[in-house]
Amino acid sequence: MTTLPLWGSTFLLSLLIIVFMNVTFAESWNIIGGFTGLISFGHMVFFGVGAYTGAMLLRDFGLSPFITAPIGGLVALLLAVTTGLPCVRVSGFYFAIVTSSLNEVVRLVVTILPWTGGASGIVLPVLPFDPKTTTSIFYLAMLIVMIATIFATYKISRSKLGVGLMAIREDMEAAKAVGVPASGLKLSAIAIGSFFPGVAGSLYSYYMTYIDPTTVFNLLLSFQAIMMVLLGGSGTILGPVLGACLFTITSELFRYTIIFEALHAIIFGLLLIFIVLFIPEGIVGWCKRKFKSKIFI
Amino acid sequence: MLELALQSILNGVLLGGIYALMAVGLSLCFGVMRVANSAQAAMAVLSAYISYWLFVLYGLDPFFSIGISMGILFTLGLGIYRSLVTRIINTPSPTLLSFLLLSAVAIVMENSMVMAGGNIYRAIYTSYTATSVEIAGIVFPIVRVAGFVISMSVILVLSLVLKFTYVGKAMRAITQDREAATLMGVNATRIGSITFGIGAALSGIAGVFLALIYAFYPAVQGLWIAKLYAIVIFGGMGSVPGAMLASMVLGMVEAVIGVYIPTMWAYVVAYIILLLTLFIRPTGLLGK
Amino acid sequence: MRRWNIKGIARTTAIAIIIVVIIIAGAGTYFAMQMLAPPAPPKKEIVIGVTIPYTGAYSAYAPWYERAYRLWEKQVNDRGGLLGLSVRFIMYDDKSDPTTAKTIYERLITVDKVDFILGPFASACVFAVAPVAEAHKMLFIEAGGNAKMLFEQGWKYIFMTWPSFAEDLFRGLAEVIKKMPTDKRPKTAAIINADDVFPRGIANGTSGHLEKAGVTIALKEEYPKGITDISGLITKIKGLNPDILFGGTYLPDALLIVRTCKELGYNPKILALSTAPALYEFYKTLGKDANHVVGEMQWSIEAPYPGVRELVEAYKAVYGIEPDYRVGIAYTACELLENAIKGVGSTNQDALRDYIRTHVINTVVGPMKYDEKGVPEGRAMNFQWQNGKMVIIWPFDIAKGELIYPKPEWS
Repeated sequence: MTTLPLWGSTFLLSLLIIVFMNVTFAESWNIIGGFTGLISFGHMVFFGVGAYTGAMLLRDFGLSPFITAPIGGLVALLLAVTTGLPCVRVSGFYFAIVTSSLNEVVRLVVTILPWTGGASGIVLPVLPFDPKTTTSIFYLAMLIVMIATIFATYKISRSKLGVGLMAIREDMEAAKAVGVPASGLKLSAIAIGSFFPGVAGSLYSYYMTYIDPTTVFNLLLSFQAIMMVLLGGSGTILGPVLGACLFTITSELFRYTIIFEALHAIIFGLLLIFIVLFIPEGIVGWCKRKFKSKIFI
Repeated sequence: MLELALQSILNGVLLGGIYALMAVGLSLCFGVMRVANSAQAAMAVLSAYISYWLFVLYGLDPFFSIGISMGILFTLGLGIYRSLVTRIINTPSPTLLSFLLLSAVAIVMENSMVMAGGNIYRAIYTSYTATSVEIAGIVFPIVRVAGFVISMSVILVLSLVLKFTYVGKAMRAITQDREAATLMGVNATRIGSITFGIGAALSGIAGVFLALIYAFYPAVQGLWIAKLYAIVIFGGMGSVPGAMLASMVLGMVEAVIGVYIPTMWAYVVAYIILLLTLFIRPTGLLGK
Repeated sequence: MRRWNIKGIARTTAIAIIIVVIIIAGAGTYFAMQMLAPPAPPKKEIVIGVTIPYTGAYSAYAPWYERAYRLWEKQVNDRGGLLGLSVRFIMYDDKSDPTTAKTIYERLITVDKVDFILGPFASACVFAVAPVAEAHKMLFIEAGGNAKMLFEQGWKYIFMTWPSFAEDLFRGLAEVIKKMPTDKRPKTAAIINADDVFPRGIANGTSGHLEKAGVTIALKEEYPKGITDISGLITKIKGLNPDILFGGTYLPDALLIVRTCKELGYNPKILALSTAPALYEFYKTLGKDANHVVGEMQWSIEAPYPGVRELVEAYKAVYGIEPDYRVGIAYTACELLENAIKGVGSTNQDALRDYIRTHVINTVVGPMKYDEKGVPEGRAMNFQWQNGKMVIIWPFDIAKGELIYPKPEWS
């Protein structure tokens, strides 16, 4: 995988960058939604905040997002924790609306404030290399972020935190009864889940060299993340990876083969209906159930 | 100054009346069946198209097509409920699953409309479009007033149905305690499908006014459903009076606050109000 | 006997599985792309790559651009093609999304190996794609974005086919006002715009032009792009009662503004909106309520330039309706390309770029003379809907009528 830059085309590299971003996004959502049961419809807000942090630090201080990306993640984390505090009292479906409202508030505020570039967005300088090299650099960066996200998820699932989260998801009252610090754990999950999209967002803004509020705070993409996780299997580690890969690849395939673009959306809609009705646990979840093998984590 | 304030309040109330139709339908579905009908707005847009084509092809005045739209949407609602929603109604989390399921249905509906007619803006343009009457310096847009009156009448009828008919009582019984109601002989599936159908029919009525007042296109359903969810959750999912109250409040916020502070900040304020309400009282204003 | 480290094995297996899944996914993508990537085109044709917003926020524009490109494609092939080769367009859907557009152009250049690219639609997408063109040193004629910012990035390959920046679209209106007798001029204006790059540029620019014409800006506000109801804002404006209401709009909000003004009984002396009034859908949806609205367009079917009549006739013959300005702008991009290729005699991107910079090329939008930033000398037109027709009121040398001022009451 790491040698891909040597023999892959720029197009393939840029496509995989999107795949890695989607995996990061889906997997980090999974920490909040899949493990903890807090279905968030505003996951993009962390990505957007990270994107703007990276862009503004570059614009105002000349700091490369490759260095400041973790700061982007931290800013997202701060946002998550401060708004998360009251959020953890709200559960299930209401959490969904609260998070999407949060997304909208941040988007509107970013659009209004002149300091963030407003609706006109921020333009960033391009890396002084040829396209292949530039894309390769971002490819490697995103690859690292993705692996870090998957690894973090893996670590969580095997830890006390993970077990606690899943207990909360299954039955919060029972969990509290046995002493699980529900609010604290939920907050931790939200914090961790928000960090990685923030990092990815910072890199994204540098990669695209232009960001504006509508693109990076796009609610629809949060929805897409949920679809990817559902497809793959929420609450599993492989699930979001598989879901994101399949979804992105199929989108690309459709783009170049199916002429009526509205048909893509119809097909995905029908697919989602199928998943919700027949395999709500996702592909990996279904495999887990059917094959009872330890491979499907 | 007073005139401005009164006009704004009127605008808000009229706007709220239009939101109320769809919001009540959404809230009702949640209350009775714990189903989140994400396709509520898509159904309204479908109804808007039906009215539009009836008007353009046959010259049928939209007010007369309300009945037709209602009928078609009611049947569609029944169909969707029986074929899709009943499969997930007995799972541990019907709300979330129905939300996703019906969101997918909304996407399919929206894009089917795009494939059928294209992403073109359409609006019904009659002799009385955008006309208004001025009383004491306040302007009353005729179509919006008509929409408000019809909306309130329908909701009134609905309240009466809920209070006095068997179906209505059964719906309320299920809202309070599903198991007990089933034990008492209420056919949850039948009542559920009727409720869903009613929600769809309400969208059917709203859709006609959507076509008369605004220019619409398939993707507008995404914008409307987001608003509807905000309204319904703010007012309390499952509460019809809550949905009505919240519709008025949102209508007011949009119309009134936008007059006194910059429009963009008005929306921020609206969202913050929503968030604060949810933090303080997660079940919404009048929710259980 | 050594105890097996179960935990360690499980962990290793897990990591191995993850890596395998990623590799399979990556390889799968690679092979899928190989299957889809067409074989290198036999050098019998010239391929032009472009994205069109078939879906997404800008989808209403898609058919107009596509039809313009396809018409030219047919015409140029009927003429014998370019450099003896036939010409073919490849068009993909960018979903009105900059990220998608960027990826697709990468593909067009590196996988489809197109000979030329034309720009996508909307400034946001052009912003994302221009660096790609620059990096690959490809000529980038774009008919999609006219935000001033695009031309301050130091890009060398970009050329705009719009004669005017967003900021200058209503310069004409200010000129018309300046020509009025001082006591009759409008004194105040309310300026509103959607919260997006393009409308904001228009609003800012127009505000400046109006101020130079002696108009005081009573209100300047933005509203969310997807706004569904604008009664609050219009009520506020009605309370201030400015002489001019100006909207930096796209189509849906423009329709909303006109209708709401009528509903609330607010009739400004000048109602001017960007983009929408020149579009086919505007008059079709609003009917007589569209009358007396002032708009802008960068091209009109009555423009007095060579080739315009022919384009209008050809378009009507093939598609059955009249073209609007979107067609003119898109067609110009093709004309520029064709002209340059014929002038240079090769497909060398740098040579073509230099040719366009140093020659004045006649197009349906007018004679295009470019500066080193890729900006043409040109101006937009302002018109007013009168009795169901778009009457050009500025520039004065091609004006077909005068501004009806003040705007008559709603009927």
